[in-house]
Amino acid sequence: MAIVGTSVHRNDAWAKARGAAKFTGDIRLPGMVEVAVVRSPHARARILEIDTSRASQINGVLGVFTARDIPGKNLVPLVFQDMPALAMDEVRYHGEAVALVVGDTREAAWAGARAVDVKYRVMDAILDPIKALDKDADKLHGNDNVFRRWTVKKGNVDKALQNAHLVVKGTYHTPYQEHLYLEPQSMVAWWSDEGYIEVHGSMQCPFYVRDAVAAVLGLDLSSVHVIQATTGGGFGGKEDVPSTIAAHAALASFLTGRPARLVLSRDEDILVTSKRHPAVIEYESGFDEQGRLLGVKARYVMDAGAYATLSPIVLWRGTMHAAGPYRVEHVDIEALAVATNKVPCGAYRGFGEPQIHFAFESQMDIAADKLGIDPIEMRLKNALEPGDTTATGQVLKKDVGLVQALNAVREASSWDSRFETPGRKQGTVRRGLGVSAVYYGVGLGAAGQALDRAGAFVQVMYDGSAVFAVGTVEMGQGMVSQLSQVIAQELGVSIERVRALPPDTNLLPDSGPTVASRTTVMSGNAVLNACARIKQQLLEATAGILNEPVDALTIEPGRVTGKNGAATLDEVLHRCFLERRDLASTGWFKSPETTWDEKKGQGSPYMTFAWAANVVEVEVDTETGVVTPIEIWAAHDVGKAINPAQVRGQIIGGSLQGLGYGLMEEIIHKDGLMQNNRLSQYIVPTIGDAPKINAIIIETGFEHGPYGAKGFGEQPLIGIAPALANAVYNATGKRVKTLPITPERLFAALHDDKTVD
Amino acid sequence: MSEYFRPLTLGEAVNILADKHPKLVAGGTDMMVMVKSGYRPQAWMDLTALEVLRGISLARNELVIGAMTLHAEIAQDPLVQEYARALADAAAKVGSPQIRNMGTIGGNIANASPAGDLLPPLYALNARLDLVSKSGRRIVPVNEVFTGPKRTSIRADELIGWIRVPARDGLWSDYARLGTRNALSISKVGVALAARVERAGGGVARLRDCMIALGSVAPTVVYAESAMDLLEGRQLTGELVQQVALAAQNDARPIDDIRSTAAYRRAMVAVLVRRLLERVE
Ligand SMILES: Cc1cc2nc3c(=O)[nH]c(=O)nc-3n(C[C@H](O)[C@H](O)[C@H](O)COP(=O)(O)OP(=O)(O)OC[C@H]3O[C@@H](n4cnc5c(N)ncnc54)[C@H](O)[C@@H]3O)c2cc1C
Repeated sequence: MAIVGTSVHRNDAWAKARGAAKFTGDIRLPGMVEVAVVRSPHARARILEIDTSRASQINGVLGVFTARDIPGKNLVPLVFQDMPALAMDEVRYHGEAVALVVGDTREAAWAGARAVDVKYRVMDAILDPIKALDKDADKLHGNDNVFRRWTVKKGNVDKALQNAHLVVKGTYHTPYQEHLYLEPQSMVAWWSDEGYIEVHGSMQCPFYVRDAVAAVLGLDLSSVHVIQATTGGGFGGKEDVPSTIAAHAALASFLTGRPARLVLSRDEDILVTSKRHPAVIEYESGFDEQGRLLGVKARYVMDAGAYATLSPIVLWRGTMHAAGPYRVEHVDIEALAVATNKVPCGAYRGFGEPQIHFAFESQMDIAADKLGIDPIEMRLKNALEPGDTTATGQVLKKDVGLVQALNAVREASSWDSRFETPGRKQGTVRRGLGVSAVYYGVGLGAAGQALDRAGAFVQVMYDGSAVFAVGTVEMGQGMVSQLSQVIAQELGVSIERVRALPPDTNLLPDSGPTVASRTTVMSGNAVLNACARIKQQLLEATAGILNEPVDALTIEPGRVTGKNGAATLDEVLHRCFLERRDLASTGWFKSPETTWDEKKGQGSPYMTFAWAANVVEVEVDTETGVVTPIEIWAAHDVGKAINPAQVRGQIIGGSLQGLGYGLMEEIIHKDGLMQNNRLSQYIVPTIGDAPKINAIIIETGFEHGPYGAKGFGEQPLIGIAPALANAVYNATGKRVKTLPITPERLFAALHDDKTVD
Repeated sequence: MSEYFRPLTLGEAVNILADKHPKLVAGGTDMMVMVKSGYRPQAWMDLTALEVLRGISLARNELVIGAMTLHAEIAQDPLVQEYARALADAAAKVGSPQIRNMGTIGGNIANASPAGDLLPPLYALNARLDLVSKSGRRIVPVNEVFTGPKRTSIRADELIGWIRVPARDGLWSDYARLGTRNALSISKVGVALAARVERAGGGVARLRDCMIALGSVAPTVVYAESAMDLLEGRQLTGELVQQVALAAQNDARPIDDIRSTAAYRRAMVAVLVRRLLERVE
């Protein structure tokens, strides 16, 4: 009986549902103090003076610390080395950390933070990334305000567009998106005078946190002991930001000698933590009369904010996918991440892909409409298939499920009988259908290849229970259950008796970040690798019991069977015990080779791709501009679903986040100051806004994946906004090229002819 | 540290009010938001033990609603549904189940948000507030209480005891709103309508004593006066509905803010007024 491929219950669900799981906010240590952060009220200003005298006198305040108190480097290291842990001379965004106040209680720390007097000289802020590119714009970074530029080049686009039967041109604007994980950023740090520090907290990347704490305290990596606490959601928001939070908590603990905790308030969390990059995308696509895509020319500008953080690689992923999941011979893509005086943007589920998918999937729809071709037909004509070459020159293997995904949503949504030509509908309330095609390069890819490895530790006890640990984290996405299934499947132990230990940077090898939908493949393979060694021990012991050769034996749940007999797992484990066999093992996995030639703008950037198609049905109230999503059909090629219920969970949750992105989520700035950093003002969908979501699983089997699985956790979000916008067009005949499609925006489009496409 | 009182009788409550001028807390759904942003009064007075301020009754052609009555109770109450449907509708649309089971009608009124969902129905239904203090009681029409966003003329020594809503047979009332999402959302526009419907011999309806109140489109709830004038006693034809909707739009004085734009709000006043009139039975 297979355990992999079945929807076993999550083994962390019960503790979380009962409130037994310990989050960082639940940690209580003797003598623990609380940290509050003094933050910039300006988008850009010079710090003239920090007067801590009033704050220091407040009852319960134990210390006020600034950049000058940092014993190591004032640096949160990431792709570039440009972001300080505490601002030194200049603040560069609203909410940037300026000083830390440590108090006996949270109230004392916050009162202290309000009492720190910082004198600023306000400077002109750069708020618009397009203006930041002007020659004579003030410079925040380098000599052009560009953190990073990437290109993809193939063939001769200008010629292709000249010869095209149809050229579609469009400019697309996409908004910020805030992760709004349930648990705000939180860390506890505990300095020991023996010369090491322990850090527990909410995070996706324990090894990034370790690096940051070592940098600010000037410690060896081995003296920074990071252990992930139960983490209440990440979505990319706990990729780089926890490094800063941990650096602050660690400084507070080091400087006061007490365990120190920093938990951001929700308003603070929305204000200062990374978000999805807003983008401006100019896109040109050329087609022949049959609708074949001939050439793509695009310029993708991301508003990166004040520091580089992850922007260079978010941009890289966006650039790699910019031509869409289509066969196209002529490509010219330029992408820029631009510095502005706003919150540094970073990772958010999709990592630079949702923006560009919105652009190219709108383009496809416009072309289909102009050429009179059914939108799904249009995608099928161009869809990448096994053996095809992508825009970057990567030759695809067998696991390309895009055509299957498109056909699956076509059938499930009864598209052929229900799709009507756009813009012909009548009446106040109109229904519409829209489609999108999606692809997602699995893992870190060529730009992050050095980090793309993972380690595991697995141990089977003589009573038949097992423990394991990996260097990637559980943050709610279901990693622990999937890996437990792998162990149960491989070693015959009962899944209820597999326990996960939290990632620990001193006991596990650096396994890279828990991002890029890489965990199932990377940690899954590392666990398989560890299990293989233990399995060998179990089989050798069984061979002795059954008197059969090892290769005649099979592990099944609770027993090992041979040609002529079977031994229970208890018998096998007893034998292992007597024979002094080692039933603990580490495991290791390196991702398959990937390549990127920056000069040529070509390469094979990813080990493989996941594929998806979405159909979204909406109802539009043309008098109010209110768009109500009615139903979503989402088909995803995941290689192999190790736990189908969890795959469906990812599809449903991601789709809802995608709806938020498409319909309502928006950060509002006024003169560079964020206006709506509250739960009542930053509007995300609730269950009351959720349509029926039909998740369809497609399995094409990835040659390097555990049991054929690929990563796909980010993919469900990516294609929803474009399918939604296409559905709105189908219902109303109005093309909205700026997200989110709020009632105000759609109302204006419906009642103002200037915005007609 | 703030002082904290939890009186068991109304007499005790008004004495504390007179002596200490405490900040009142009912369900706390508005107050706790302020507390979280640092608000600390000298003294608190918790109203949750005042059973006399809970519940709904019908007395002498008036619905009498205790200030401590919950949104959830108002939404489901058969008397409110019969005599003041707009109010029941509005209460059913407040926040979420959690908020509706903590938040009170008294708190919604005293909080004086221009977006408070219960306020347009109370205006349209000519509700009056029964204000209680040590020096006695005064009964004030709801529309005379609000002086600006978050500001009322309720004195520091007074509390809202009851809300009195005229209960007339055959009164039609209805509420429509647009928010930022389907639940847990503050209204961008809210419109309440109340009127007596006359339908001579099954013909086209006429509205009498028609009241239309607009929320979220001015510093306080406002009446759509010109729209109300246009409607009075006239046959409710499609053409009239159209005129009235446009007139109502001009009675609104909306602004641009985080939730919406002035232009959109103005346009939506017309749409919601028209839709309410089209629903009249
Ligand atoms: C998540 C959330 C969603 C919400 N959604 C909505 C919504 O959709 N629509 C809406 O209208 N509101 C909404 N609100 C606001 C709030 O829930 C309502 O205004 C509620 O009715 C307030 O009642 P309360 O009993 O909680 O008031 P409290 O918070 O206890 O008090 C509010 C104010 O009224 C005063 N007060 C209370 N009782 C009396 C009294 N008897 N006499 C005099 N003064 C008194 C208090 O001193 C305070 O100034 C929401 C709030 C939250 C937190």
